[in-house]
Amino acid sequence: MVGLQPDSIVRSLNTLIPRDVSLENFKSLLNLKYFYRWTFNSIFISLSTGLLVCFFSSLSGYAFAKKDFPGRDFIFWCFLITMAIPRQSILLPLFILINDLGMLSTFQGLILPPLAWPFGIFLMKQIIKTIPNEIIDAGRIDGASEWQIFLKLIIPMAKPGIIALLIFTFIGTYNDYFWQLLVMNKESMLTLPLVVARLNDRYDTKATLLMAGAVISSLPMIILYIVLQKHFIKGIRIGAVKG
Amino acid sequence: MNKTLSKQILKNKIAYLFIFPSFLAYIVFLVYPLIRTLIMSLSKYEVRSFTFIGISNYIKLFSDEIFKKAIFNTFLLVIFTVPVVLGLSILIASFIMKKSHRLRSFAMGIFYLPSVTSIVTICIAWKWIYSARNGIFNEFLNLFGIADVNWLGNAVTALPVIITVMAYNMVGSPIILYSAAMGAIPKSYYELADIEGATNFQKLWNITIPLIKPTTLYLTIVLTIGLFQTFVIIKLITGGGPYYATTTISFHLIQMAFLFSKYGIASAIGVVLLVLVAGLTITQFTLLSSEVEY
Repeated sequence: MVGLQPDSIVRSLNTLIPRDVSLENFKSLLNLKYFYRWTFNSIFISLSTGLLVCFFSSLSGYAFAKKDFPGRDFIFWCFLITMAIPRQSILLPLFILINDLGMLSTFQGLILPPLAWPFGIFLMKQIIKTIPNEIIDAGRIDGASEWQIFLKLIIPMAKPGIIALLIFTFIGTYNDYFWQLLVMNKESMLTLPLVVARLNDRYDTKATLLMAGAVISSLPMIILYIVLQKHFIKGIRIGAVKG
Repeated sequence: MNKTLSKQILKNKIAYLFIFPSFLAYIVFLVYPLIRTLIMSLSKYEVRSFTFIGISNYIKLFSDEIFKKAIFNTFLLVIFTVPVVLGLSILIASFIMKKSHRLRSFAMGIFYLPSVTSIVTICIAWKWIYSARNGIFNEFLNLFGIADVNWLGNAVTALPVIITVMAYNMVGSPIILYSAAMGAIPKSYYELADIEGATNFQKLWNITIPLIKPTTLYLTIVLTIGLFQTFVIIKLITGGGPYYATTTISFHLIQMAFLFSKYGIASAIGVVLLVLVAGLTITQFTLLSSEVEY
């Protein structure tokens, strides 16, 4: 299982049995005109999506978890059933929509559509449900407005879950080659996974260079994951308990 | 508590306001495209206009050999990958249950690693491993005197290759979820079984597996839904071939939509895909949840 990563790394340095270990491939990648731009694109898009998803999911999750309003269960059920909709079924009209809105090859085009996926809402609903009502009531008695309750009480108490969701969404978006492939065309707007895939497509790319690219594009997320592993596992477990 | 009417309305206003952003995105980026897919599937698309032609796209679809092969391949993919993933994860999870906490975390970390690795990287690595001429899988088999096999270019082995890559990719979260579920089983059950002289297999089969059924149900549904949407792995490793051996329904959809610009047909495939997934999900839910208590 893990062999995959060391293999790629080794190959990228030279051959399977390293004869001349060199960082030449990595250097040539770093010297590409847009390398830092691509890295920025990937990180910016993933971070924006992550933060927006966390914010909106917390808002909705709080409403579904703690508030009782007409249509609450029905609307939640509407969100729930979309988990069974295959991405490809709505892909074409979604692509046409993004195109018509002029959002192809833009940051918005990549960041906005994922906001529709309700996974984050389920997660946050589960988390916020565990916050004791007494605390919220106490806040209300103290005269706090709904916004204050949300920002000063709910968010701090749901922080572990929010962080898990953020990491989850960040890494998921970063690796979402499929959606990036559809939306991004301009060379300056590409993301790292796209770049590596393009290297793969070209017949004249050295295998070792390709491996170097693969390593560079995936290593940051792997490191992030190793460092934050606990949060990940927590997020997966909470997400699996359906409301 | 005695709430005044105005307070009640205000309270609801806030709730609706809070769910509004998510709901808006949901309508714009999910519901609208869904409806549009349905409409597009019933139309024929020219360059600038479209004409409503009823179900003729569907009729064309069901006489298309490639589409039928795609359905066949998709079902093969699901029927084989889901049990493999579930079986592997249950075995691995139950194996690490008895080990130290540190080893458990380490194992979960290793197995979940593919899920956080860029899928492009995974495909490049696997394509290289299965490569006919200098792939390490063939080199490994050579050690046992087995000749090189063209794993990716052979219509018989291509789909099994995809199945193995999918399984590799998908065991991560099942292992984590099963570990949690198994951890909740009271140790006394196993101790009782030990007293009665049960083998490890019997303990697994009669105690563990029935008690983790809710997780199994959830995973079956989630894995199936995910498998129907496999695209990138197929595109980057086998490109749908050879001779459509690895073309799945969703792969065919994207070919039709973005390669051949046959929007009507592609949308029809999309609807079929949706109906299949929804139908399967409901079926799995009713079949498997009959004995599960929540």
